[in-house]
Amino acid sequence: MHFLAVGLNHKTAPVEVREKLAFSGEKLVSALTRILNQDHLTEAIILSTCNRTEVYVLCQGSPDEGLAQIKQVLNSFVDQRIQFEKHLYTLVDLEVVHHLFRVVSSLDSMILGEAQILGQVKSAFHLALEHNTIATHLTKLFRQAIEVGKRIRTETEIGESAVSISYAAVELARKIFGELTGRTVLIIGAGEMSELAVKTLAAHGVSSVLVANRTFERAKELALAFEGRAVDYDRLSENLARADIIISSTGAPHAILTQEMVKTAMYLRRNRPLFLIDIAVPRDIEESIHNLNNVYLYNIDDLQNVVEANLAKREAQVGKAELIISEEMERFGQWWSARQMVPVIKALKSYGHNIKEQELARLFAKLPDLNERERECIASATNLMINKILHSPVVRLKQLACDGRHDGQVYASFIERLFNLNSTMESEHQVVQRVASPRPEEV
Amino acid sequence: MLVWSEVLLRLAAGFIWLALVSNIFRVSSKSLQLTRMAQISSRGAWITLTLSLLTRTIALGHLTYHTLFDTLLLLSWVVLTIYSYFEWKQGWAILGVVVFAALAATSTYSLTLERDIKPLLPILQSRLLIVHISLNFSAYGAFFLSFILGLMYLGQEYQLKKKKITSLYYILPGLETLENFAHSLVSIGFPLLTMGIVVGSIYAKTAWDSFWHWDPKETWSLITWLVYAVYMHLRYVRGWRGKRSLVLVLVGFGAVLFNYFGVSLNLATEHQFLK
Repeated sequence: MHFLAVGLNHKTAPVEVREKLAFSGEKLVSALTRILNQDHLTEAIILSTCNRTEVYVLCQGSPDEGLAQIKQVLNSFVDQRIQFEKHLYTLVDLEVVHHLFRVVSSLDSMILGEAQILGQVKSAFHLALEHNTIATHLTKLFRQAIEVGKRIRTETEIGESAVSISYAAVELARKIFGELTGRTVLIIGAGEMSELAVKTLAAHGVSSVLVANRTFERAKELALAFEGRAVDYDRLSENLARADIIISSTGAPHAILTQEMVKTAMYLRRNRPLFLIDIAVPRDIEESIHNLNNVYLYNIDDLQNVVEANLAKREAQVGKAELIISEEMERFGQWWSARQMVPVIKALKSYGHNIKEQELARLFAKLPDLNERERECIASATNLMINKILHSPVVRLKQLACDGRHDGQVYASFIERLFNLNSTMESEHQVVQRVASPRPEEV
Repeated sequence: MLVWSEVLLRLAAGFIWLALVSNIFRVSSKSLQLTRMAQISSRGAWITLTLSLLTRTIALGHLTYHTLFDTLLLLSWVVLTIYSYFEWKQGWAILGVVVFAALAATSTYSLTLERDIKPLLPILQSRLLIVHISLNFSAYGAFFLSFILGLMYLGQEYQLKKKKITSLYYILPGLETLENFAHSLVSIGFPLLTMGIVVGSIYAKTAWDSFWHWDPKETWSLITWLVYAVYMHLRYVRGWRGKRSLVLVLVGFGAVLFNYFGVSLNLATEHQFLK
């Protein structure tokens, strides 16, 4: 029994390849179905986001065969001319666990610490549950992975600081004002970036929005979108004093906010702090304004620097996250090794009981005179014997599996060989397979 | 009773150190357990310190403030009480670190100090004196915290002006919040100091028949008072805010510090600690 994973992500494959291997909706379900139609593949989940496509599978046969089967299925979904195999990575057993734990905690993401991946793993998991494509093993793996993702988000600061320009602006505003509730923002000129910034600010409590634009009509439009108010572009200086945060992004070729204007505004607002964001190129606001008392001017490069510092701060959290992951790996590893003993233990037990059944049948045939009670006594005595003989090996196997110092697998295969259990175990697998997943055709 | 006070004081010092350590760890890692530990130890410190003060007061029959030891105890209590408000309202780890570092130093130092109280001169047994001391010490406590908030402000302001992001940027809270709290503290401390000086001079009148002696302590109290008065004036009348305004807050506390340690320990004054 092995965990297998096959996938590609933003590091191994360019977007032209990734988009061909993206699965969603019907296509995703039929891919899952096709995977489960393969021999020995009993559980499957597909995680497909814009940065990665990964197939997680539980395989009862040899890993190499299983991996080949998965690739074959992927192949059947993609135009033959696309060479995607060289972009694939393949993982086996604990590598799969480690990889999934890293993925779910965004250590493998394009933007370290991003929050979406956790939700994407969750929905891939729920989809698989819904369509019954997973059973004990992948359920346990994904449940724990989701826990790991949550744990890392709460116990480290990996997702804390802003890593986009507009969020960096909000973060800076917070560092200047503390609270953003009740603040006023003035946007001068319209642009995608300033709209984004205003939206983010509004989401963090900024309550009133003033919009100034060279064409008053456009200002009105924007003001409507933000439930704000359009103000006269030619009377900018009057409105400066009313704003706590000013975002400027006009296409003007020269500075539209001068030091004199801001000085006057500061006098009018009794030196309460003022935060100016200049996202225009060429710049809209005179740089010297930053030197005024309680005035903070950040341009697009400054914001970018903040973002980079924040990214570095996230990087610094990776070690802590890895520590949590190795803790969780150990926990999962214990469960996994104990689980791997299940087939051997089952086989061992049925080996014993088969012998018992056969011998009893022979004995009763030889002694037809035995009455019901005598038969029962003999049967229960032999039953007890088998159970007592098998009791301690079964208990020890479970213990050895959980105790990290021993490789439980060694003992398992040892038992297998000693008792020649291979034939019994084969049939066991088929039973497991039937129970574990309803045939994909039913999906 | 005195034994109890001593035991409680040592307990308080233990809690203070614990709070210091947990706050230090809290700065660099967010963890619910650490936060809880910091809260519990700071509450423990407040309770044991309060009880220590109470038992000492009961044992000696009156509130004592005549030795360096006693004044440090009183001041620590005031600071811890004001800090509790911030812990409840804001929970800034960095403030906890600074406050508990100061408290850990003073509480550990004060354990080594002479603290036997000999019978007091009749002139020192006055209710006015107790009011005078309580008012002044409450003001000092408020000034101490406004000083720390001022330092935090200047640290953050420096980052934002230089546009160089270091770990301080993440640890320190927002500027205006810091400034508003510092201002509130001075607004509380300033009238307390004013009343304290007035009550002190009334006492001087009853004891020495003159309101003002130009004793070094009096002179420095006046200087302290003037600095904070200038700060309040500039803020209200001229709309002074931000860096320069907070520098005045720091200067004011510098005067307080000199008045407390410099004058009482080194200069000839009526305000000397009992040896």
